[in-house]
Amino acid sequence: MSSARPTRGGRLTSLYGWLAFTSARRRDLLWSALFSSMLISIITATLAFLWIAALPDGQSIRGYDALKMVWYIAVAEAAVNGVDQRLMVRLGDDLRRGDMTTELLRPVTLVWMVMSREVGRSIARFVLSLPACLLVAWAIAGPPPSWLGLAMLAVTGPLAVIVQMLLVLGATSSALWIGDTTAAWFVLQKLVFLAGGMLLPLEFWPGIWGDVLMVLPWASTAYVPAHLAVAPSAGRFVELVALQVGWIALLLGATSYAWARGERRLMAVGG
Amino acid sequence: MSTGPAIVARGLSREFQVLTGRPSLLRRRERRTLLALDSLDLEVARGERIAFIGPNGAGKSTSIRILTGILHPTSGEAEVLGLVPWKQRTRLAHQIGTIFGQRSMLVDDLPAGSTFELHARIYGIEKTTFAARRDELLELFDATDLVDQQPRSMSLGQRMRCELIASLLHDPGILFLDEPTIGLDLIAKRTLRDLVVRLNEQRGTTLMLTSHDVADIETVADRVIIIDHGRCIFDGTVEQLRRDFLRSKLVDVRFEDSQPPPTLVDGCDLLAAEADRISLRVDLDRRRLGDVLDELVAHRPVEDMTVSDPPLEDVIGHIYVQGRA
Repeated sequence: MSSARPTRGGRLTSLYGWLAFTSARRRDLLWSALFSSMLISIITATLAFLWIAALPDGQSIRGYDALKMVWYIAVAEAAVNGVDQRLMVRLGDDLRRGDMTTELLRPVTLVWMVMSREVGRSIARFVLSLPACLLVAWAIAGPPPSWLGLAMLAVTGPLAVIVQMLLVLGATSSALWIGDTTAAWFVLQKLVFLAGGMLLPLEFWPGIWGDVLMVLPWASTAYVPAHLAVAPSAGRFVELVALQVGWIALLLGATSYAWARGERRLMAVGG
Repeated sequence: MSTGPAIVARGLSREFQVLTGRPSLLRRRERRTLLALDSLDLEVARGERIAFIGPNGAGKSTSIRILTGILHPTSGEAEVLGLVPWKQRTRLAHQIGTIFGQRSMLVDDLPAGSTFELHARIYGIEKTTFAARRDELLELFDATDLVDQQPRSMSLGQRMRCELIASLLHDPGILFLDEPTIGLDLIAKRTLRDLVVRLNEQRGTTLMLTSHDVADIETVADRVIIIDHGRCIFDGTVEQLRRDFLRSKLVDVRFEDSQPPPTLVDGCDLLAAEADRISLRVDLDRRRLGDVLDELVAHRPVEDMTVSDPPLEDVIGHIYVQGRA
């Protein structure tokens, strides 16, 4: 009898990369992305009409005219929608009930497996729902304010999804200690809406508030891709992408630590 | 890989803390200690086929969880294929396979072939080895035509065959089967049992089966371990189980003529009576079997007579009831 031992070289990247890729190929994803795209298209259209009414005749607020606002909202909606909004509750239930313990039967690190699976799905969702939002913005407000800005989405969009995913996974680990993720999910969702700049660009916040919020992790989930899509500049791009990458590194460490503690707890209490 | 026994456990215990009483803001709920596993000793040789059974709440799942490395024991020691499960979980995961009848390891929305490939990546199986092993298992389990199918479009039996393939791709030394036949129809159950027995015979894979289905136990296992209240209450072969716990025999008699049957045979339970036949359960603690047969033959001319053991299900049920008493 031979036992299959791992070949170390490149195994981890190969495994978790493959997990992400395989998850992105799941066929249920297409339908889920399609239905959520319909919903966020309606939301985008509603907000677009509101901003067009609020900013007539080329008027602008803090550098955003109606065209920029509509495209900002469209990109922000698509970026936030990349992550399934029920994911946190679903994962929390799996952890709380102990269902996730069966995942430990595989020779993998639990958090890395969940993370790569969900990042793969989320980026695929983002890619599938982005065109719907952009089409709505184009149909209502006209062509994009900057093609360069849209091209930047290829980098900032996936990074935004990864930051949001890490925030979700970090908050999900609370299920192991307090047994529930509903409250954390509610708070996180509202933080992404408001502090993340999904509803309004962060420049709209008064005084120092906007500056503070821009360096917090939530800004990387919606504000960064949406702002760069409508007001691109090389300097700002480098600055904000560095911020996204920095938050990914920090959140990756914190989330891995929290889940490793949680994994030990899961094994100790039996789920 | 070590060459010792497949599983050794000494004094394995596991306690759980449970909260009792209604939740209240004014008063803390009381904690109660529940002993799920109570100094369990276990030794399983490589290549054995074990049925690990017991009533609900007996400690089967807790034992399996500890032995597969996903739960810490409160005290005691255990080694599975030479590894301490809860300390060397990922190393052990490379050497064991698991089938949970109520929890699928397949990805519902991906063709089974993609899940197999994913498992190959997870277990670090080289491409050529994977292809050879997958093809061998597909042939063994007659599942070649299922590779491109998504599990959600498969029957339960087909799904279970794919589950088996996925869990065997890395050639585990032990296969843990937790209620593998639950929900399957008769044919699928029989196929699954035949497959795991064939696997054991051909590859020497140790089987550890938990099931409430007596046919699983009779067909698959060569040794039965019964636990209750977290303790081992029987460890032996199926034959020993019958011999040690079978305190009754079933007697069917067909008479040559048709007359009212004897309504009462001392020390026996009358199971069925017709004009020309009678079925009895003989309590061997109260009557000798020979005496009962003599009495029946003396009563009327007998055309045919069969003596058999009660179904294993009755025997196990009897043990469970004794254990609970």
